[in-house]
Parts: sequence; C-alpha cells; structure tokens
Amino acid sequence: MTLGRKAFRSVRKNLSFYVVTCFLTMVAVTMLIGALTTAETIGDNCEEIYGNLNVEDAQFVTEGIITEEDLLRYETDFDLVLERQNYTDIIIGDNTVRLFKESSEVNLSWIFETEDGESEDVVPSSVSDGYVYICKKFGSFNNLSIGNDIILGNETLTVGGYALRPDYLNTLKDLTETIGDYSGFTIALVNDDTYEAVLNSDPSLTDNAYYSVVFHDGNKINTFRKALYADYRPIEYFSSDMNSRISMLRGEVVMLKKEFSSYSMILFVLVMIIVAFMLSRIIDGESVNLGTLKALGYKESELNRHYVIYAMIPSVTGSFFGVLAGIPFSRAFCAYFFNDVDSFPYSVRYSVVIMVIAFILPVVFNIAVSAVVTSVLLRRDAAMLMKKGKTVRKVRKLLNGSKLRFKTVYMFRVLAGNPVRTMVFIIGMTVASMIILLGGMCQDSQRNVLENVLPDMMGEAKYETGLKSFHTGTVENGQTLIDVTFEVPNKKVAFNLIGYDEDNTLLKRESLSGKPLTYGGYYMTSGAANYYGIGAGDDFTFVHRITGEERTVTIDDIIDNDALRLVLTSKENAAYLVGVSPDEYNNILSEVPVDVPSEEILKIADFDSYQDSFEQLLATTKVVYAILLTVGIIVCILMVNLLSGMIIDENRRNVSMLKVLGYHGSEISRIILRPNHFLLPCCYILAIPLTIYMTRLMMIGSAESSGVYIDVVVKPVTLVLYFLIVLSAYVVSLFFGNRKLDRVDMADSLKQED
Amino acid sequence: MNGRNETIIMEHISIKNICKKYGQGESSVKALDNVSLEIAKGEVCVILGPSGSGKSTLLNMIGGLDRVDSGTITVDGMEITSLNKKQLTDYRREKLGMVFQAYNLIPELNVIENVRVVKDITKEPLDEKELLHVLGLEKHMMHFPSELSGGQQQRCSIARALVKNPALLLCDELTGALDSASARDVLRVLQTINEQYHTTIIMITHDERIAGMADVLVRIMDGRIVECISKEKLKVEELGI
Ligand SMILES: Nc1ncnc2c1ncn2[C@@H]1O[C@H](COP(=O)(O)OP(=O)(O)O)[C@@H](O)[C@H]1O
Ligand SMILES: [Mg+2]
Repeated sequence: MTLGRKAFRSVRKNLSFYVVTCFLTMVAVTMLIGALTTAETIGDNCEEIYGNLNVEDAQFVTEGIITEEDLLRYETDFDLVLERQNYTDIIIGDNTVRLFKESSEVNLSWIFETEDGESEDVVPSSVSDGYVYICKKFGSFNNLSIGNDIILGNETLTVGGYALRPDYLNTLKDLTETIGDYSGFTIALVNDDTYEAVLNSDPSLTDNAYYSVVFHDGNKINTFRKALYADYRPIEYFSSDMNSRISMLRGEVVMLKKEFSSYSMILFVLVMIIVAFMLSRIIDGESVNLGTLKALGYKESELNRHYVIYAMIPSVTGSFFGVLAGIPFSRAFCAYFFNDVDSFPYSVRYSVVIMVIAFILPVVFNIAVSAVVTSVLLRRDAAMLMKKGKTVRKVRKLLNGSKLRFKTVYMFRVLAGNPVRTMVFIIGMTVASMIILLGGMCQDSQRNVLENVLPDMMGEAKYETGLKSFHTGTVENGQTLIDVTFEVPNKKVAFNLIGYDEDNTLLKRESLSGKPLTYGGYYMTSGAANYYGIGAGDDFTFVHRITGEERTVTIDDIIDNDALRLVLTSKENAAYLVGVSPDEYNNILSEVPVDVPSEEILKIADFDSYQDSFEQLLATTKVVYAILLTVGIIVCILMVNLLSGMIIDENRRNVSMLKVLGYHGSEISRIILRPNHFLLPCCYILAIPLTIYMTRLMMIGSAESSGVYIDVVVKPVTLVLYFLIVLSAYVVSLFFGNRKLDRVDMADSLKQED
Repeated sequence: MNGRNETIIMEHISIKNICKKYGQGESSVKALDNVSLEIAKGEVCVILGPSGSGKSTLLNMIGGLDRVDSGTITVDGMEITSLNKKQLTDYRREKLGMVFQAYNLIPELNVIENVRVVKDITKEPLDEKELLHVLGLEKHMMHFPSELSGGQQQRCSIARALVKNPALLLCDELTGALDSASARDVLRVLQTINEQYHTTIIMITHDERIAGMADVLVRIMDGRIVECISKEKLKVEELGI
C-alpha cells in the first residue's frame, strides 16, 4: 500500500525521533526482561533448593537438650519436623570451617559436584565416611580441589566434592554480616561418624547445637512456641524470615520485580509522551496531504491505521531488539545476583510469558496513544486541514520592547512558541537527570550510613557481646544490658528491647530533639520508628517472641539511629517485659573485648565488622547504579538530540540567514540552541527534589523487605558532580546538534517564501 | 579625488573568468560561463537578465555563499575564491550586506531586534534607530515581521544589511515581491545610502525600470554577459545621443 510506504519513508525524515523511541523502548524492554527473568531464576532455583532440601522455617537454641520423647511429642502434637543440628567451628589460620554433622530431616545437604562431575538436579545427598564436602567458592579461593586432603581437628579428610545446605545458601558466618566472606569461611559437611572422630581428635573443639524446625501447619506455630517456652526456655528463636542466610535472596526477588518494573514503566511512559508529541507534529506537518486524502475519499479509520504504523515502527523494532538484548542481559544479571551467594549450578529460567508481555507492552501502549492522538487530529474537516499547511508559525510576542539582548528574547519566544516541545524537553531531560541522579543519591545515602550512622550506632561502645543465657553479677570493663527480640503484630521485621542501667555511659542517651533520656521512659530509635510508623507519644504494641505474650507501652521520644531497630528503657522495665529479674543481663557493651567464657557467648558484634559488611553491600549495588547512569546518559543525549533537531528544523531559515549575515557556527549554535542551554539546568534542578522523593520511596520499599531504613542524604558535591555528568552528556549531544546546524544550507534563505 | 586613489578604488570588485556548473552529466546546467566584470568603489551595478540566466548564482559567488568552479573573484584586494569557510564568514561579517527577495527576517524578533542581530557582531555599527528613521520605520520598531507590509519588511531587511555600514551591498530581486510604490521607496533609500556612504551596490533584477539607477549595467543571458554598459555611456543614452 502506498500509504504504508510513506510511513517508512518518514523514518528517514524523523530519524532522531525513531532512534530515541526505539532505544528507550529497547532499554525498557531489556530491563524488564532482565529483572523479571532474574527474579524468576532466583525465585525458582531458591525455592527448589529450599523445598527439595527441607529448609528450616525456624531455628532456636535451648539451654538444655530436648529429650527424644519431647521431640516426638512436638512432631506429632504440632505437625512439624524438628531436628537437632550439630556443628563445630574449626579455625585454620585466618579461615573458619563450620563443620556440620549431616542432617537427615531438616536442612538436608546437596552435593552438586563430585569427581564424577556437576549435577543441576537438586536432590538430597548423603555423605560417605572419611570425606568432607565444602563450599565451592571457598575451595577455589583456597586451592582446595576435589580429592585434596584437608586436616580438620587432627583428622585428615578428603574433599569429596562441593555441597551446600539450604539454610546456608547465603553463606554468612554471623547474621550481622550482609555478604558472606567466601575466602575465609565455609561450611563443611561430614557424616555422623566422621563428625565424632573430628570432634574427639581435638579437645579444644566444642560441639554446638541448635534445633531446626519445619512447620506443616502454620496455625500451630504459636502454640508450639508457647509449649517450647514452657518446657525448655529457648534463648534464641529465629524464623527464616529473619534469617538473612535464607531470606536474603527472597528479598532480592521482591526488590528486582518492584524496582525494575517501575524503572521500565517510567521509560514506557516517556516513550508514550514522545510518540504522542512527534505524531501530532508529523500529522500537523502533513495536514495538507491529509486534507487531500480525505477529500479524495479516504476514510478516517484508514488514515488512522496509517499513522498507527508510525508509532508501531519504533516500538516493534525497540521491543524486538529489547527481547534480543534481554537474553544475554538476563544471563549477566543472574550471574551478578548469584555472585552474592555461594556458587552452585543453576539454570537461567527464561520465560516465554515474560518475553511476550515485555514485547507486547510497549507496542500496545504506543498503539493506544497514537490512536488517540490521530483520531483527535484527524477529526477536523478536509478544508481546514488543507488550509493548515500554509499557516505561518505562531510567534509569541512576549517581552516586546524589553531591554534584554535579542538572544535572550529570542530564546523565550522560541520556547513559548512551541509549548508542547518545551514540555517534552522538560519531561525528557528531567527524567534523564533523575535516572542519572538516582544512583548518586542512593550511594550518598548508603555512604552516609557507613560514615555517620554506623559510627554513631553503638554509642561509645566498640564491642557488643551477646550471651547465650542470662547471668548476674558484674563484668570487668563492661556495662550490662538486657537485650531481647520482640515481634510486632503484622510486621515482618522484629526489634530488640534494650534495658540499660541508670549509670550506663556507653549508650547514646539523647533524643532527636536533643533532650536527655529520662530513666524509666521508653525510647525508640528512628530506624524502628520509621519502619513501624511510630512517633513520640504513640502507643506501641509488641509480642514476646518466645512466650507470645502481648505488651503495650507508650513511646516517650525518638532517638536518632537509623541503623538499628531498638526500644530503650530502664533495666527494671525491660526485666518486667522479658520476665527476668532486674539484676540479670544477657548482653555486655564495652570499649575493649570482655573476658567471658567462649561457650557462653552467642555473638560478638564489633563495630568494624558492621562497617565491613556494609561496605561489601555497597560494592554489589554499584553495578545497578552503573546501569542506571549509562541509561540516563544515553537518554539525555538522545533527548537533547531529538529536541535540538526539532528546533533546528523549525528554524532552518533563521539559521541559514544567520550564516549569510556572517555568524560563525558556534555563535549560531549559541543563539539557536540557547533554549536547550537554558532548560538544561532548570530540568536538573527540578529533578533534584523529584529524585529525593523517588529515592525515599525506594528506601521505604527496601526497608519493607530488609528492615533497614536508609535515610536519604544528598551531598552537594554529588549534585555538582552529577550535573557535570549531565553537562558532559549534553555537550556530546550538542556536538550532534552543531553538525546538524552545519548542514543547513545558506541557499535556504534565498528561496522564495511560500 | 587624486589619481592614485582612483586606481585603488577602481579595483574594488574584480571578477575574472568564473564558471559554475550545477549537476553532472547530461542534466548539468552551466549557470555561469566565463564571466568577467569590474566594479569600482561606490558604483551601483545593476545586473539584468531573464529568470534562470545565472544572476543569483553570480551574486552568491560574490557573497561567498557558493563556490566557483574556476576563475577568481577579488574584493578589496582579497581573493575571496581562495578563502576557507571561516574566512568567508568573516568576509561576509565585515564587508557585506545582503538583501533578498524573501526578506528573511527572523519572525521571533521585532524590527529593531532584527537589526540588532547584525549590529551585535559589527565593530563600528551605525545607529540603528537613526537608520530605521531614515528608512521610515521609526513607528514600527516594536512590530514583528508578521505585522508589517512587504515593503516595510524589505526596508527592515535593508536596515539590517546597512547597520554595519558595509562596503558592499548585494541585493537579489529586492523589489521582486513589492508593489511599484513600495519598490520606488526602497530604491530611493538605496540611492540615498549610496550617496551618503559611498556603498558599492550590486543589484539583481529582471525589472528594466531599475536600470535607471545604474552606474554600470550588465545584461546576462544563459550564464554569459551579453552587454556591459558603463555610467558615461548610460548618461549618453539617457541624453538620447
Ligand atoms: N543549487 C542549484 N542546483 C542546481 N541548479 C541550480 C542551482 N542554483 C541554480 N541552478 C540553475 O542555474 C541556473 C541559474 O540559476 P539562477 O542563478 O538562480 O538564475 P536567476 O537568478 O538568473 O533566475 C538555472 O538554470 C538554475 O536552474
Ligand atoms: Mg534569481
């Protein structure tokens, strides 16, 4: 059809429009496919591992051993599977090997690589006598190949292969870490006999135990916990939601889906705006032809269909390349996310459904928008359309008689003369600046946590020593606390109740408003307050994690601490809420390490390890920010290119005349493209509050899954730096603009006006 | 004037054997074919010829808007046919005023702002208000091109060309789109300028009536000069001798 050919010819005429929309569509489609495929891949592989290997739903530590009868009774009464897990930490040089006795019911092992090769099937495996199975990453970092010998305790064992436990998928030595130390820590799996042999070979090794449970009936969890508390008084209880060894990847799935689908949507909407705008331009430019065609008897619907092709060309092309690029991008993205956990064979789960949706979405959007635009524009009658082609362009006569230089006046009139173009530029550049700024703001906020929040976090204390059970008495160089985790109804993430002595000097004892804390009041950290939505004076209800009892207190004030979710109160109050005596403690703050028998220590948190693990977290998010930055820069270049192309096109005669009048290329560029020069900083400034708002939304979103609320902080240096980046992108696009200006022929101005 | 000055002035514009061909092969057009011409400082040269005879091509060559295939053009002792793009721009900026049939005012700027476009890049400009006064546009300084008649627009574009007090003014069919009354006004202004500032003017037209203004009258046909009459001879003709 002849009309169809016309649409394709228009590609050449409006090349930058097609390049911009095509590219943006492609990026949006690629990101969408990449993120959803990665989410799918992580989700599927993890749930396969968790499901096939019976990952625990919760774990707890008791002071005594649960008897065989009680184990059986719990399993039948509460419809659950409960198994004791034994491990010992073996220090070899700088490395720690956490040797597990192979379990048979909960947290089964998966040996995925042996001498015989690798297997992708997630099936529970059993371990043979005299062999040990370790994490693959640890093996390669420490040159431990399959078949090598390793001395554990005083036993020599052979590395039989690489394996993982589902509850150590994110192989963290301590739960305070966010990223595992794969060169210095591994779990190792042996069978019962070998475990005993290793333990007996070295008397310095201690046998640690905890219980892991899988619930088959969610309704019986609370009654089980109450029964357990009555019988054995567990000191720690972690559900898998709060165990980042298990929950981390699940959180990433949620994050990927949420964040990237919203990035893609923003780009889709931007494309739709551009398409709507360009289409109305094209139609306006062709209104004479349209009038003629209408007069010739073409139906509106036929013409409509013709212009829909205009919008379909870039979206179909963009979608197509987006899907193509999405395949390798997904692979890379999966590799990047799986890099956080121990390595194991996984397959990328490409989903046809995702690809089809990602392909169709922009096409449908663009068809919808172009159908609306054309039907509005084509409703005018033929005579009116034919007249329209001849109209001189409207000039806004603002600032007439002002003393401003003609260049400035000209700029404002050009901007006002085509307000839609100006709007599209503002939207496009603001979005581009936002995409560029977003990464910078996130990084600033995270750096702020690292540099300001974390040092403040533990007050004056450098070490926090958590004990397995409550003790009485005093500790040399230490100040004792009651520290018990409580849950909040309908919230995923728990908080810790801290009871401190009146003479405690290591805790920060000042509220947000600068007032000192009153001993006996209840004070919540800002991190918890933001997460639970509590302010000073509000009632706060929470549940004892082990007994399930509900309590309500009134929060007197908020303490500035975004990193920790705590409620601070007097030791007496805390003792009452926890159900211990006020002279008991289970946590020690100190400036130097305290002298406590190691078997009584549950965990030692030192400030440096917090900082280390946070720093590692920053490193992994860098790639996402790099992607955003690149996309932002390209969008910026393309938008400027598109809009300067339009301005030049509209001002061809002016450009040509300025050349004749003896203006040099750079001077012409400064006059004609001045509207862009002016709008660029405006858009950037506009983007700053918008990005802050968006970053805050993102941080709230990620607090929802991670529990850590990161306050949005922007450094002026970053704003300047990113402005320079935007500016450089702009200068690059200016180069293209100047080339376009260069190509305008001087003879244009000699032609008769039509 | 003494004799020495005379010789320098005589060589103001010197065109030697220029040729220009458009297109290639069979469809090529010889727009200019071995054209030579000398114009002295302060002279008004009128180039007459039918449409398509190569007048605009010749003017564009002199204005440095287009390049010759062969031959040389020298203006004020500067061989403009061997200048590069930047030098040509400077040449236009410093020496040249140009007026076209299509007025080519910048529609977004009012009359005085349009004139300032040129004033801004001129070292010793004339006073634009005075100039607009001379051109009879003093009441329209704040008007936009779309609010002016053709004659007014053309006078504005002349003001723009003259504000730099150019040594050379090139006019391509400047009365082509004007009614005869406006055309007469515009021509009178040019005559005044020529007398006041000794501006060399080259004017292209296919309107025989303009010929009366000429110091030199050139007739062009199919890219060749077919007749070149100087002032003295014209006066003689006028006297009917
Ligand atoms: N840019 C061009 N490309 C091709 N041919 C041209 C071009 N400019 C002029 N011509 C041709 O050169 C000849 C002279 O044109 P021109 O100088 O514009 O004539 P005039 O101004 O006397 O009417 C004409 O035949 C015209 O078609
Ligand atoms: Mg002509």
